[in-house]
Amino acid sequence: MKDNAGVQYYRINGQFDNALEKFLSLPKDERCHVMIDIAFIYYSKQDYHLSLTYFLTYLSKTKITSVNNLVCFLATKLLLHFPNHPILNDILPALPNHTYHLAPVGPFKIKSFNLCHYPRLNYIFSGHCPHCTHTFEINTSMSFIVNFRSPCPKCFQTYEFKSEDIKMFIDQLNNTFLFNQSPVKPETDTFNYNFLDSMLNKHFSTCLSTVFLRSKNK
Amino acid sequence: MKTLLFSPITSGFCTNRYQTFIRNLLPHFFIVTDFKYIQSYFNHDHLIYFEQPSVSKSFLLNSYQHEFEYCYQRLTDISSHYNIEISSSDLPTIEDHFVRMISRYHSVKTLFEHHKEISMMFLCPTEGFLIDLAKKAEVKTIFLEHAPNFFPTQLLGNSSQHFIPFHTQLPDYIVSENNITSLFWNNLIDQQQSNTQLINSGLPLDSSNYKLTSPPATNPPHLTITIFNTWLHPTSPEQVLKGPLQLLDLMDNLFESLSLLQKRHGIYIILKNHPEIESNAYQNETFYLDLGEKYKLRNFSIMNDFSTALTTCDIALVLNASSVLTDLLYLKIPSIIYKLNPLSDLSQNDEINELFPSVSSIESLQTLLENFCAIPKSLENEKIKMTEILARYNVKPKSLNQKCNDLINQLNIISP
Repeated sequence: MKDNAGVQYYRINGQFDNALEKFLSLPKDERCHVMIDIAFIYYSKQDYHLSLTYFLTYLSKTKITSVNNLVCFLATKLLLHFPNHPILNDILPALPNHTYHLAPVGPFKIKSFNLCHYPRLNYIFSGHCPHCTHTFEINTSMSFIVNFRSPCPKCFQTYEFKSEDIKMFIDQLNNTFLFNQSPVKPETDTFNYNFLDSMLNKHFSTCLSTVFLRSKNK
Repeated sequence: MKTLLFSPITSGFCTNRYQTFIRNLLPHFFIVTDFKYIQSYFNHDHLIYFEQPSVSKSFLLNSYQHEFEYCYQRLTDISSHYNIEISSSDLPTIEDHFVRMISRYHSVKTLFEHHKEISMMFLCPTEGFLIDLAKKAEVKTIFLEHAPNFFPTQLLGNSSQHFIPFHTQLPDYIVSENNITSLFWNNLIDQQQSNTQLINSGLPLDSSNYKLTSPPATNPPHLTITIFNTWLHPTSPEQVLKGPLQLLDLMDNLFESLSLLQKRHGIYIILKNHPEIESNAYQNETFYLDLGEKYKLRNFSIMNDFSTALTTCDIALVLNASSVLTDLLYLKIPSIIYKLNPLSDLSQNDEINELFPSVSSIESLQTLLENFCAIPKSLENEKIKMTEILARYNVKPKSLNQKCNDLINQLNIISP
C-alpha cells in the first residue's frame, strides 16, 4: 500500500482492500468526499445496501456541481435494486446527461498475476477492461474459483471474470519449468536466528512466490 | 489489574471470532493495542491505544542489518534449491518484503518497551517468532488458535510442510479446546521437552455459540450432505499454481459424483464455505451454482450460517482436516475428510483417524457416501462411535459463556 495514495487511486486500480483501509484511516471530516468511491466498491462487491448507504451519505454531504459519471452510474444501477427509493428516483432526472449507455459484457483480459501470502493469501490478477483497456487489479483472495460480473472501476461498463479465463492464462505460461521436488532442508546451526526462519515462512513466501512466478513467466 | 497484549495476528481475531471473549475480558484486564479500529470497536476504558511512532525503511534496514543479511542468504539458498537465480534487480523487492516483515516484529518490540506493564501476550501458533522477544520482556506467552483442531502437529510438528522450514517453539501456555486436543498438545510438549502448561478452558470462539444438544433436523429418506469447503494454502512453490487448479477440477468431479448419488438416494446437498471464502462470495457463488446446474443438482444450496449448517447436516464432507471436525464430533455428525493433499498428516490419535475416514479420490468418496446413504444403520453406528469417544475422553462440550469465564479465571491466576 502506498503511503500517499488516496481512496480514489486505489478504487480506480481495483485495489479495493487498500481503498477501504485508507478510508478508515482518514479523519471523519475527510471521509465524505470519497464515500462515492466506497459506494462503488460495495456495489462491485454486490453489497447493494452498504453501497446505497454510502451513496446517500455522499449525496447528502456533497454539492454536485458538474456531471459526474460515477454518480450517474451508481444512481442508475442502485435504482434497479431499490426501484421505489424516493431519493434515487428524484436524483436521476436532476442529473444532466444522466442516460447511461450499456455496452455488451466482455471478458477481463489477464496480463499477469501475483501472489501475496501475508497477512492473508491473495491471488491478484492484473489485466485490461474489455471496453476501455484500462488496466486494473482483481484480487480473487485465496482461490481460482471465480465466476462473476462487475463494473470496470474506470468506465463502469461490465466485465466478466471466470475460472476458465484463469485456466487458459496459466496454460499459456511456460510449463517446462520443473521445481526441485525434495523439500527444503531446515537450518540447523543458526539457533541465534531461530525466530527468523519462522518469520520468513510466514512473510517471505510472498517474496519467493514472486521470484518463482517471474521465472515461470520467462 | 493485569495488562494483556494481542499479537498482530490475534489482534485480527478480536473483532471477529473472539468478540464475546474480548467483551468479557475487558472488565477484568487492561488490553493494549496499536490498532485504532480495535479501540473504536470496543470503546472501553480498559482498552489502551498506543500510537506507534513512525519508522522509515532505512531505519528498519539499519536496525536489523544482521537479520536482513541472514534472510537474504536464506532466500538465496532456498531459491538455488529450486534452481532459480535471484538477480540483483530483485534486491529492492526483497528489501521491501523484509521491511514489511520486520516492521510487525518491531511494532511488538516497541509495544513491550513502552508498556512495561504488559504481562501476558496471546499469539497464534504461526507466530512462534515472537516468543523469544516476549521472554526478553518477561511477558508470558499464550497460544490462542484461530479454531480448535485435532491435527495440531500439522502446523508445528512437520517442517517439511512449510514453504520455508523452521524450528518450532512452544509458548508458556496453550489454550486447549478439550481433553482430546490436550492429549495432542501434551505429546508435542513432551517431544520438545517444554515447560508449557495447558489451559483447559476451551476456545471461546463466537462460532461455538450454537445449541450443543440439538439433533440434526433432517432424517432419511432425505439425508442432507453438507460440504464444508476450504482452500489450499500453498506450502511449496509448485503448489502456488497447482493447488488452486486442482481444487477447480475436484469441484467439477465432486458435483458430478454428488449428482449420481442424488439420483439414487434423493439427498439434499448444502455447501458451507469457509468464512474466508464467504468474504468473496460475490466472486465465487455463481461458480458453485453453475456447477449445480451443469450436473442438474436438485435441492442444492449455499448456506452462510455456520450453526444452521451444522444442525441441518446428516453427513459432513470436510475438505481437509478442518477445525469444523470438533463441532461435528460434539454434535455426533458422521464426517468424511477429503484430503486435498494425499501426503498430509493424519491425527496422532488412531481413534480420531478411524472416526473421520479420510479419502483422496472421488471414487473412494463415492463408495463411502453410497454406504452411508444406502445403509441407515451405518450412520447410527458412526454416531455410537462418536458418543463412545466423547465419553472415553470425558469430553463435555461447554457453552461460550462457560469457556469465557474459565479462561478469564485461568488468566487471573497466571503469575507474572
